[in-house]
Amino acid sequence: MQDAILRIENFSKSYSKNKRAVDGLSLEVCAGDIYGFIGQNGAGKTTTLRAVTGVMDFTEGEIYVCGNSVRADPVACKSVTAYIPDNPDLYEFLTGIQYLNYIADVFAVSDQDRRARIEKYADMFRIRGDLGSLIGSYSHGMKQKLAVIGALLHEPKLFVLDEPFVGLDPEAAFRLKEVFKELCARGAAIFFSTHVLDVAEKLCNKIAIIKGGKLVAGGDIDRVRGDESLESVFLEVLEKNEG
Amino acid sequence: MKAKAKWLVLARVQLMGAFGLNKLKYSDDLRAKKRAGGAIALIAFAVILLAFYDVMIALAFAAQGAAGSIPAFAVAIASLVSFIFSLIRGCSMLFAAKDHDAVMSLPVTKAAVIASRLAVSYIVDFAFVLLVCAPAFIVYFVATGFTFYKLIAMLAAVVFSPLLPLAAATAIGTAITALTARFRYKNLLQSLLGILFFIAIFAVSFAVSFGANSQEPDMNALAEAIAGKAYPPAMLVSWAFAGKIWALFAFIGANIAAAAVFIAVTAPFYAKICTRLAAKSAGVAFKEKQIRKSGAFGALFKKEIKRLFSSSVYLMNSIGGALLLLIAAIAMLIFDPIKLLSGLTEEGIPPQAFGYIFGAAGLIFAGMTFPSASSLSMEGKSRWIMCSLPLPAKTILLAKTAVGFVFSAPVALIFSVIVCVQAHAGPLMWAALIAAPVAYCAFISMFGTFLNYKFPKYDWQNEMSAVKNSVPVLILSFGGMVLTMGMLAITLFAGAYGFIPLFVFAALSVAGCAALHAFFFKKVSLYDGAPSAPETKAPKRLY
Repeated sequence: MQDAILRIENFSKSYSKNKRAVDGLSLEVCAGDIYGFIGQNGAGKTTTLRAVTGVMDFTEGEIYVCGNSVRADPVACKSVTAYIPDNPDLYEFLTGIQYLNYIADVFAVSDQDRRARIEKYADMFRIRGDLGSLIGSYSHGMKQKLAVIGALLHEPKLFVLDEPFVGLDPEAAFRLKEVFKELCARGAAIFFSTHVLDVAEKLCNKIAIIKGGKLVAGGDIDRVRGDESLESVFLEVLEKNEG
Repeated sequence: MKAKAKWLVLARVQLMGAFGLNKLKYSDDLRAKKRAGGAIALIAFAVILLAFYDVMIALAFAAQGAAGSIPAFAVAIASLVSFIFSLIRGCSMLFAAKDHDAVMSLPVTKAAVIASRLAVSYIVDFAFVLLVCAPAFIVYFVATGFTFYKLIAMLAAVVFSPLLPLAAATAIGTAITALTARFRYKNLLQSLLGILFFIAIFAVSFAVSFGANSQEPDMNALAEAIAGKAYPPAMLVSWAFAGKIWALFAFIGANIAAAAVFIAVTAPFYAKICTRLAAKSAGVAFKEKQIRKSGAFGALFKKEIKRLFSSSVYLMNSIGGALLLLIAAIAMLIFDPIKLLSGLTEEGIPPQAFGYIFGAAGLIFAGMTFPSASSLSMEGKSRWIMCSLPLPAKTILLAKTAVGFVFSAPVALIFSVIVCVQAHAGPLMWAALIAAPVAYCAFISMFGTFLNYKFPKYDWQNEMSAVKNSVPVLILSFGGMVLTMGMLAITLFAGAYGFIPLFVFAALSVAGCAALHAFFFKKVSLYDGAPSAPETKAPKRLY
C-alpha cells in the first residue's frame, strides 16, 4: 500500500446556515499521485484546497498531511506543502528574487539549495532575466511562473494548485507538467483543481468529481472513466446527481 | 445619459465602495454588522468629544470679545486641517485605484473620472468641516444673534470650504506623483517628497503664527488677522458674515474655481500619469549575489519594511506621529521651551515638573505611530501567502508589530533624552521618561496588530481604505488620544511627582504587552477569515 500524503476525512464547510460549500468529503492522495479535482464553478473545489493548505479554518472533519492534522499542527503540515491559488496575487512591491528569497527564508531552505533551485527553475520557466524586476511589472503568466518557482523551493511533499494552467503559455504549461512528474517520481503528490478535462485525462492517475460540495465520483482514472472519455463521464455523473 | 451626469454615476459607485455600506447592507455576516455597529458608536463618541472641544473653544472666543471672528477662525482651522489630511492621504484615490482599467474603459470623460474620485475625498472633508464649523457657528449665532442671511452664509461656508484645500493638496500630490512616476522607486520618492512638504507646512505655519500683528485694535480684529494670515480665503468668510454679499460669492467662486481648474488641468495628463505609474520600471539585471539567506523572522520583518515604504499612503499615515515627534524634538533643541517656561513662571516651578509634562506630551505623538494597525489588512489579495506559510501566527504577528516599534521607540527615546537634558533630570525622571515611552510604543504596536487581527479589511480597492478608513486605526487614533491626553492632565497635576503616573503608565503598558503576547502565542495559525464565495442577501428590488 502506498503512503498517504493527504487524507481528507469527512470534511465539511459552511459559509452560511443554509448552504454547505463542501459536505462530508473524504479522499486520499498518495505519494506519486497526480490527483485531479474536477467540478463546476462553485462546486467546492477552492474551499477544499484552501482548507487543505491551512489558509482557511474549518471545524467539521479532519485533514491530514503526511500524518499531521492541519487543524492541530498547521505549521508542520504547511512546511511540507506548497500552494498556488487560482490567481496568485504576489507582493507587487518586491522584486522576483526578493520574493523567492523571502519564501526560501521562511521555509528555511539552505543557501546552497535555494541557489541551485532558483537557477534551475528560473531557467526552466525562462524568467531568470526578470527576477531583478518588481513583481508589479510582471504579466499574469510571469507571476504564475514565479509563484510556481517559489512553491518548488522547499521541495514540497504535497503540491496543491488551483487551476494551475490558466494564464501559462504552452511551453510553461508543458514545463509544469514535467515538474509534476519529477516531483511524483521523488515521492511527492500533486493535488490540483482544473476545468480542463483534457489535461486531467492525460496527466492524472486519479481524479475526484465534486458537485454541490459532495464527492460524486473518485478514484483511479481508468476505473472512473471506463471506456468513455472523461468529458462524457463528467457530464453523465453531473446529470445523474442533478437535484 | 447626459455627459454631465456620468460623473455622478461613477461617484455613486465610488462612494458605495469607499465606506463599505453597500457590502454591509447586502451581507449576512453578523460579525461584520456588529463590528460596524461598534465603529459607528466609536465615531459618534469621537464626534461628541470633538464637538464639545469645539464649543468650549468658541465660548472662550466669545468670552474674550472675539465672537465676530468665530466663522473666519472655524473655516480657517477646518480648511487647514482638511488640507493636511488631504496631503497625507495623497493621490491613491486618484491614481492607484484597482478599478482603473475598468473605469477608463467606460464611455466617460477623464474629467468625469477625476471628479468622481474626488467626490469620496470631498465627502470625508465635508464631514470634518461640518463637525468643526457647525458647533462653532451655533455659539456664534447665540453670541451675535441669528439672521437668515447668516444661516445661508454658514451653509455656503460649510458646503464649499472643503473644495479649495482638497484641490490644492491633490494638486501637490498629483505634481509629486507625475514627477516621480518615471522612477523605479517612485513610491519611496513620493513618500520622501510628501514628508518634506509635511515639514515645510509646519515650518510655514509656525512662521505665520509668530508673524501675527499684536497691535490690532481689539480681540475680534486680532483673531481675524490670525485666521486671515493662516488661510487668506477665511477673510472672505469674515467679510461675508459682516454683511458683504460679494465676499460670500467670492468665497464660493474661489472654492468652485479651484476644483474646476484642478480637474481641467489634470484631465489631459490623467491617462498619461496612470500609464506611467502602471508602466514596467526598467528591469534590473538579476545577479546571483541577490540570493541571500536570513532567518524566518528577519525575512518577515524585511518584507514588512518594504511594504511600508512601497506605499506613500501607508507610510505617511502610519508614521506621521513619529515624524511629528521628531519635528517636536528638533523644535525643543532650538527653542528650549523648558528653560523658557521655568523663567516665565512666578512661583519658580522647577524644570523637573515641566520635564514630566513634556515627557507625557511626547507620548501623544509616540502613540500616533501604528503601521501595525493596518499591516494585516495591507496583505489584501496576497494574504494567501501569509496564511500558507509554515510559521506560527505569533511569528508573523510579532514581525508586523516590530515595524511600528522600530519607528516610534527610537524617536520617542530621542525626544525623552532631550527633555531629560533640558529639565536637568535626576535618575527617577530619566527612568520614568525612558520606561514610559518605550513600553507605550511596544504596547501600541502590539495592540495595533491585535486590533487588525480582530478587524481585518482585506477586500480593499484602494490602499487608503485599508490604512485610513478602518476600525483599528479609528480605535487607536481616538483611544490613544484620550489615553495620552488623560496622562498629560494627570502629569500636570502631579508636578514634581510626575514620575508616579509615568511609572504606572509604563507598568500598565508592559502588562498589556504581556497579555497580548500571550494571545499571539495561543494562536496556532493565521486564517483567511474571508470566505471565497461570500453569501449575500438578494436585493429587495432590482431597480
